[in-house]
Amino acid sequence: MMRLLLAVALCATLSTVESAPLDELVLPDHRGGTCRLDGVRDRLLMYFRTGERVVAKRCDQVLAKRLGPGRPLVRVIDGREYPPEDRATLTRRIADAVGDEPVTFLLDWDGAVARRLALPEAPLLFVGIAADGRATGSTPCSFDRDSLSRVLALLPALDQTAFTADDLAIIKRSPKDARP
Amino acid sequence: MTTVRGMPARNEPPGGAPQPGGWHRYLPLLLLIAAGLAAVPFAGRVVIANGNSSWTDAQGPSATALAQVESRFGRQDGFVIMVSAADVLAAPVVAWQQRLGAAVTTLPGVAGIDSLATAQDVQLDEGEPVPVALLAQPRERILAHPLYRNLLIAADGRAAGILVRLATTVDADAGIALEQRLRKLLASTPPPSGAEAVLGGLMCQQQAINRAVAADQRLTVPASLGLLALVLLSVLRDLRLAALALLAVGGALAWTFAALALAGRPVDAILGLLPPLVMGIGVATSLHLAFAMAETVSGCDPHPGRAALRRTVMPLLLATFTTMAGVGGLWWGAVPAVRDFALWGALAVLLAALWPFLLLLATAPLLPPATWTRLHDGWAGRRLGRFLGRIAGGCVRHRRWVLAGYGVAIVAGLLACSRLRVDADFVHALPADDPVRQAHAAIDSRLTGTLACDVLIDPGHAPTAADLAALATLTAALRADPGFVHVLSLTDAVELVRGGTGREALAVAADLRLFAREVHQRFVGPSLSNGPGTTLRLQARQSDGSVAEASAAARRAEAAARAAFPGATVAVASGALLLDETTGRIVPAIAQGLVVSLAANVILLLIFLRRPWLALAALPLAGLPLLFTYAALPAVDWPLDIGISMIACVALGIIMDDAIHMTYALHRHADAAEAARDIGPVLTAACLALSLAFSACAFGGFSYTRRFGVLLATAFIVGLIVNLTLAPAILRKGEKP
Repeated sequence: MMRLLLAVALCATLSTVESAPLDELVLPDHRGGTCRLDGVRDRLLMYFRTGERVVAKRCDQVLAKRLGPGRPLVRVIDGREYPPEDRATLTRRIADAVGDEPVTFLLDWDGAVARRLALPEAPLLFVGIAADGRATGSTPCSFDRDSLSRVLALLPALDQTAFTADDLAIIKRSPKDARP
Repeated sequence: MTTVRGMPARNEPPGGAPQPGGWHRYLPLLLLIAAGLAAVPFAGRVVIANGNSSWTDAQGPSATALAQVESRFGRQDGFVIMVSAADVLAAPVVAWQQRLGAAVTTLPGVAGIDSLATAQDVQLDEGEPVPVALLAQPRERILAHPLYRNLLIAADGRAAGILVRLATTVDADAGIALEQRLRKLLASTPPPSGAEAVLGGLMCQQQAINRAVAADQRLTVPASLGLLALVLLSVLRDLRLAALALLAVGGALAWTFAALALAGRPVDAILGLLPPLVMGIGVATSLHLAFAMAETVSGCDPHPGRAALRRTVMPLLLATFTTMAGVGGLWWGAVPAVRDFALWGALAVLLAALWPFLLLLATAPLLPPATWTRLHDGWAGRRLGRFLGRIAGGCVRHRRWVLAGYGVAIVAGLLACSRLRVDADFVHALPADDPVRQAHAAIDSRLTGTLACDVLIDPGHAPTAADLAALATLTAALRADPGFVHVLSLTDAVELVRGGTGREALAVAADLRLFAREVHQRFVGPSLSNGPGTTLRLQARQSDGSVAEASAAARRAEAAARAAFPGATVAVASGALLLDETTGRIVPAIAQGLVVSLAANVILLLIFLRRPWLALAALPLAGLPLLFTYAALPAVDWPLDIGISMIACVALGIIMDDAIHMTYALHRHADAAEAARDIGPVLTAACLALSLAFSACAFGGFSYTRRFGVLLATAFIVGLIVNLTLAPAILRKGEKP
């Protein structure tokens, strides 16, 4: 019974979207290259504004463990708020911040992903991409167990065990982080 | 047939003995009453304009600056909700702020809110600034936060604010609706026990003024009418005649407002001066007609009605036309609302003069002669005439002394007028127990300034290190200015991120633009000239109170900004500055209109009387009372503002009316004393009736209502004194042509 209630509650928080596959969509990445999104199938996509990057990074770290190496997170920065003159600087700064880490950030300057997947306005969204390339749904996320657990529900193939406080405790502050 | 005091008993003359007859004798009166009543439904449809768009110049620098701020940073004239409690960061109070803020955001017309719940702090993430929720920060950081202390939270933690930003579509009416919704919301979502919430802001103040004026009107209008009725009754000594005078005022008012409604013209604060103008002209005309009737009836004129009309038609027509010209002279004013008043004021004068004539024609055959002659035995009768005649005679005999006295008074008046202070302070004009006045006082003293003031600086290029240094200096200078209670700029956000790291301010500002855009966009916007540059914004707040002081501080800020950024485009936007600018336009516009009015009157008198000296005499008779009345303002420490300057329009209309009657009486009579005996009582009666009626405004709670009544009453009394003393002295004997 509790499971049923939980399932109903989770369904209620997920947006129902009318989306199209991301096929043929090409986005620039932070290294200066481009990436075609044909292959994004059965994956989680994280769509976020730079103002939410700290929360996004933490969610990323927690989810990466659950997703495993076979199903890496697709990270897309919602860059609609940046005017053209700021884009090169932002790309360079992202590249500097990422350094040698094996992660890629795609840059959606004009909101093509949001349009294609019919995403609602939110600073940080997770979207489930089904095997046919269509969105299974999307959910806003903050760094807490409940919302991270809701993200799991976007891809039924994932281990749906709810996150615990210990799962979230893996986050470590960077030595460069400091409150001014 | 018998005669009454030698009059023929005929059925035709107005004022003749009432004749037995059919119902048709009452037909003209019934038709007039029906005509008056027919206008009432139309008059009831008149729309009250809540905004002040007709006063302000949408193309003026202040309005342009406000529009520039609005298009770049959103509107700054929204509501302020302040919650005060022993600790506004206590969990229940914070939860209430979050709940209320969320509910406010959903209201129509709300573009967004700024509150502790929505505010963002900036912290570093791997060396880059990142916005984080302010409430997630430690208590001491929130209380001392350089961006939000004295804006969203008091340093002692006992007050917090929710600033409600308005959508660009919100006009005055939508603002009223939103205020009501906010009050309803506050009532249905009360703060936790021990906390208190108040609502303030410019729109609240505007509505508080409307409410205060409406409350005053509920008290002063019946009191004015009651006093007017009492004085009319004591002068005319007959209930029917007093009722006729009031009916004339009512009919003229009904048709004036019906005309406004039919023309689709909303009544703004300036057109709100029409009722006193109608009342003044209507009462004066009714009294002139009644006194003329009394004179002809008691003079045993065989056709007293006709004789009374003959006797009054010329001066009344002249007075009506010249008064219409006087009010119409405002058409040359620079402000649309004043020009509009000229048109509608002239129509109101015409109607106010026409209704007493029609009522006289309709009722004269119905009233017995004794009704008219009774007034001669009252206090405003012949005894008063003889007394005034003696005064006029004395003024003629001692004309040098009188003229010298007036010369001194004119010089003193001009000197006093040179000390006139132009200012307005609406919040302190509200009654002391008004909730908005109290809310503004609480917000100003405990949290932040109620009024926004923004300084926009466009250096014509992207900000440089030198610009940021100049901005920091300017911010510090304005913060030290007592005219501002809160000042913020980009440099505060830069310092917040930079801390003691010694990073270059320009690099930090660039980081803010990239990684904390919401914070950056609060202080930096697109170029003012739509060029490639950027606009730096100093966001300041001022306490509510003197418009002159607030606008002076805003001008100091503008001068400091120009000095700090030579060659840059600088604009200052504040409601106080807009009001000050509007006053600066309207006061000269009215003065200009009055000069044109006086000139038009002289020309009309020249045409009608063909006596240059008589025509010129009307100039000081109408002008000096206004000069003396306004000269009294510095003595009582009342500033000159839009409302007080508009009083001149009403006073001029009525004083001009008196001046024309006096001038015409001097034209008719060979002796000034005789002219004063003839016209003095009616002028005195009208002056007393109107002065007493308007003095009822002294009981109003809104100080502008009180000033309105006191100044009008003063102007009428001074006008009467000038007419009865200066006119005989100038014209000596009123030589006949």
